[in-house]
Amino acid sequence: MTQFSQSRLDSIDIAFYHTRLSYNRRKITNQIMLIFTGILTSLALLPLVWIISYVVYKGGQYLSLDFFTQMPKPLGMEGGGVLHAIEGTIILTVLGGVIAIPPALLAAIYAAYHSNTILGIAVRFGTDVLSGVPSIIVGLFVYALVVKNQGHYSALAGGIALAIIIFPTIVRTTEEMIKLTPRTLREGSLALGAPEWKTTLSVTLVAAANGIVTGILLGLARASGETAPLLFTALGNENYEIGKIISSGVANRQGLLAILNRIFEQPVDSLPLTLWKYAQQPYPERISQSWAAALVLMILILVLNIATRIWLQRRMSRLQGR
Amino acid sequence: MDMFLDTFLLDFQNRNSHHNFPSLIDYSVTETAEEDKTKKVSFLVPASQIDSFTPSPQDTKYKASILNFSLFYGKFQALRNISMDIMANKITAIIGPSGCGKSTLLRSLNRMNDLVPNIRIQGQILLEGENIYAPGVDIVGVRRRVGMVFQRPNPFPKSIYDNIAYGPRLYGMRRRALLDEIVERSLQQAALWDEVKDKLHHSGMALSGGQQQRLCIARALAVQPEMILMDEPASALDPVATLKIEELMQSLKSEYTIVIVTHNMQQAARVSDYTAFMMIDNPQNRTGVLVEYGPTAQVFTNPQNKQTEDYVTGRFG
Amino acid sequence: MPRETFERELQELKYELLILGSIVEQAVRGAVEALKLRDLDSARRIYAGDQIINEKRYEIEQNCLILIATQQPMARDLRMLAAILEVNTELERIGDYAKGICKINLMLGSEPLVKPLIDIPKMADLGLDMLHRALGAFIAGDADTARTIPNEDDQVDELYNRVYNDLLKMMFTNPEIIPRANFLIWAAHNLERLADRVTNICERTVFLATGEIIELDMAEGKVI
Repeated sequence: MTQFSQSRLDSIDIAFYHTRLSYNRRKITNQIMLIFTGILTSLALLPLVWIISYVVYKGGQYLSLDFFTQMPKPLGMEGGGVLHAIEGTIILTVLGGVIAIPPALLAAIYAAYHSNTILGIAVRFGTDVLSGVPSIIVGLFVYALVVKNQGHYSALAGGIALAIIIFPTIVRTTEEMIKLTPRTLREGSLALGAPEWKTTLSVTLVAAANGIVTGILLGLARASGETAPLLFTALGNENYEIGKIISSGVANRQGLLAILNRIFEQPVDSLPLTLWKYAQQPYPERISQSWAAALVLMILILVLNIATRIWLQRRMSRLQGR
Repeated sequence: MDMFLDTFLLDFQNRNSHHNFPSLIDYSVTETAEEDKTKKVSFLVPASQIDSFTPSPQDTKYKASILNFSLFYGKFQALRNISMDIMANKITAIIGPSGCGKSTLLRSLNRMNDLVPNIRIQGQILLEGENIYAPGVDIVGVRRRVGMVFQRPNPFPKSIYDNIAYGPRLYGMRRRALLDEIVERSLQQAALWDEVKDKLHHSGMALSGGQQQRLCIARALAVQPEMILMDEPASALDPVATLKIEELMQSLKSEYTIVIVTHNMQQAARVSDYTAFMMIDNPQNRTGVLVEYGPTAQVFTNPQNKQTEDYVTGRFG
Repeated sequence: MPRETFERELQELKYELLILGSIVEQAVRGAVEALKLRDLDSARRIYAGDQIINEKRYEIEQNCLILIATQQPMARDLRMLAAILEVNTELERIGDYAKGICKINLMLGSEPLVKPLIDIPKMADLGLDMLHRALGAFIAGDADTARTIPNEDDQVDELYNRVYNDLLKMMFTNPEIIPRANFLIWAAHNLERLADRVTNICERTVFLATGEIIELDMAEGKVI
């Protein structure tokens, strides 16, 4: 008996000896892999850092407060800003969001709860295809649909084009978020006798709000950076100034609807559009303005992103009481 | 030592201090005592408890009666011919191995199974004598009368106050003063008031697991149901929180009828007055059947059915 | 308070045990009194009343088992229930002694006692006093008191020896009274055993409080 256990102990010792040897080897392998993944991660981040720093470097030289608050000046004159494009970007993005969000949410709810019905499958397939459609084609489509019929380019047409572009993003993220909310949460509400629509509205959507808002913002951020669909729809307009439209509207005692109509019926510029046009011009002044516009666009999206992140974090901590 | 016991001890001494004879018990039962000798003393099944199981109609009320109830998911039969009466103001536990249809039966009691597509039922479930599966019955009404608490605490992502007020608001209650009162009463009934009264407008999700579950119980109580279904209410909780839920169930008994499904046999033994044991009839078709239903003391000390005995003694299989 | 249900039911069980103790005490006291006064009617009633004691014992046993099965007591609670089962049995046996004394009374019938009872009621008083305090200590889980009570058993044994010797002497001088005197020795023996059972109850009390199983009457050799 003792003999047996002694030999067992020996074999265990030997096993541990080998383990100790291979432990060093594993440790070295682990470190090599760690360094390797670290290098690859830095490589992946490099373009991002490069782009941002280059834009900041080139655009920062021209950037000033005037650039945000002034309308463009005629060629050959010093100074001038891109106020028209900032206003246009905001108008187009908000318009796109207002048009896209309500139907996107409804479609997402339908697809989440009736995922096995024909319509549910169609929604999912349709949004997948739509998100793959090149944005220039969306622009052409809206041109044919709206601009041709209206007879002129307009902010409205641009908004519609952007709405089509962000629609699939919002549908898919919302659907995923609704599916991620625990089933028991819905059951808790249904067990109290709440009808399904009430449950969805006041429990599911509230629980999924963080994800849905994130999805919407991703869509809006993408929309605000789009150029191609706006070429045939919003066109661009260096004389667009909301302040003037509103003040002249108020002076002429026009109603709110009429003012809104005037805002939406004109062609409008946006930051990416301006950037694109300025960059093609042979004047160094315009080239620098183009860089500055790129920086403004980046700042706009960054501010939007950070603001929502803060809002989401506040909401989360409120919900979790920390 | 307990106050009650102290006084009794005192009484006990007083009664024994005087040596008068005859004494505490009346021995003048000579004739009947002879008969008593022949009376068989039933071991382990107290006659008193069996009596309470088949009570005279005026003694005990049935809150709900399941009559020959069968349930199908498409072609699969999940429950077959289940009949049992659920006693008012008692705790009824449903135990049995996984997949025997306990939860399905529980969810049939407030028609939560209606959410599952392709469902078909036979038989009846009477709530206070009315068949809840009769055509034209309002499901909302059924669910209001029969509340439910789930396995995992599922507070809504709202404040504690709004969680409780959710149900009453559904039924059109808007007056702030009344809602305040309902919230306080429900939380007090759920033994949570003292812990949360200063943070009613904090999120319900910030509470601990046990508190969340009591919040869910309070939420169910807020619409003043008659019966509360609990689907393994403590399986996600630690032992202390579990104990609190169990004590809470005891205190709710006087006002509500409680039906609990639990995997934890000891829990069923501890908390319930009646126990139903369910099993699948055979491994091929996996249809759930009711094997034994009786007073908990009987099911756990002297079950009438061999399968029940095997299950409660852990020799199942 | 945690485990309210269990605590409540345990208290009820203790209460039931005290009631059983009280009934048994009264039965023993009554049986000895009836023997002393040659009250055959009372003896008959107490004899029949043993059935009540037995039923009470079964009831307590059942409730105890139900409590174990449904409430899963542990540690001290478990010892308490195990000890209640034990004490329950001891009390029922003491009840049987009362029944035995009544039976002796009935078998004596109309015949007079061989001598007036003096020491036997004293034994009963001593034994019952021990029983009463032992039950109190048991319910309170008072191990210290429980350790002292068995010492008093010596007095009971002393009395028993005296009764035994007295009656033996009488039997030698007058063989005619042997059957009747023998009955009285049985009665005394029953009471002597009663005190031994009280010792057992005290041992259970120590077990309940400390978890140790000890013999409390090992100090001196027992007569017979």
